[in-house]
Amino acid sequence: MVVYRRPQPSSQAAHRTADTCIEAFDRELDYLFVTLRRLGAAPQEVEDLVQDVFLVLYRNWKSLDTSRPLRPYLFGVAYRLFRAHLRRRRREVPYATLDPEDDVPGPEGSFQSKESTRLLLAALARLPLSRRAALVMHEIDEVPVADVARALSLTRFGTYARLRKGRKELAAAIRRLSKGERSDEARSPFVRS
Amino acid sequence: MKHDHRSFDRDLAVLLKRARVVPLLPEVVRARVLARARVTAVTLAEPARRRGS
Repeated sequence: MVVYRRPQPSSQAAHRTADTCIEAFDRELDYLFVTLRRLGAAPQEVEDLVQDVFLVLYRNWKSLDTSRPLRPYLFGVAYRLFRAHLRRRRREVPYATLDPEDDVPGPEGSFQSKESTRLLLAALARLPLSRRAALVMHEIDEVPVADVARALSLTRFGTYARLRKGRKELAAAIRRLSKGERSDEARSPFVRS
Repeated sequence: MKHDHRSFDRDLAVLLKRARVVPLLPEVVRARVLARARVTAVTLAEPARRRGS
């Protein structure tokens, strides 16, 4: 006896879920790339990390409250994945303190080539990751402190403390970088005295 | 000195404001990332589809 099966409603639902999830992912792709760069990911690492963010998003899509803004959630996922990635990189790579400002931008890197952005990224890279993440989320993405605290699993007090210290460190890093560039030129072995 | 601090704070505020712009990805990168995501979604959906769950 041949049993004809109608297409499974759940299978259609799965397709719809995948489509809506990929559409949302597509809308936030630019944001994810720039966020991972701001957090300190090297240009060549970003695509793999974005793929990891998609995996988490896809697995949790059904339980996500899509009426709320997606960016704070995506930021939290990107932050945790990048933090885990950094831990792995520190274990695996003997030269763990690769300076992002020395990275050669790939063919896709030109979208971030403005001098001021480069200076800000280099300065952010000098901050500890937890303070860097809070600062990027609040000062650049303009996410309210309560949402920053929720996305990064911090208390509100802890978030304020990270922001206060992070602002000071960022200002100091920018000052050092601005001064350092000039003094490096003066001390450069390629400049004859 | 105080004046220097104020002008530096202003410069920092301008720098942060300028950084709020989210640059658009090149289309080729977007296409590559989305293609990878679609393959992943299909792969993950396949066992569930077979189970009919």
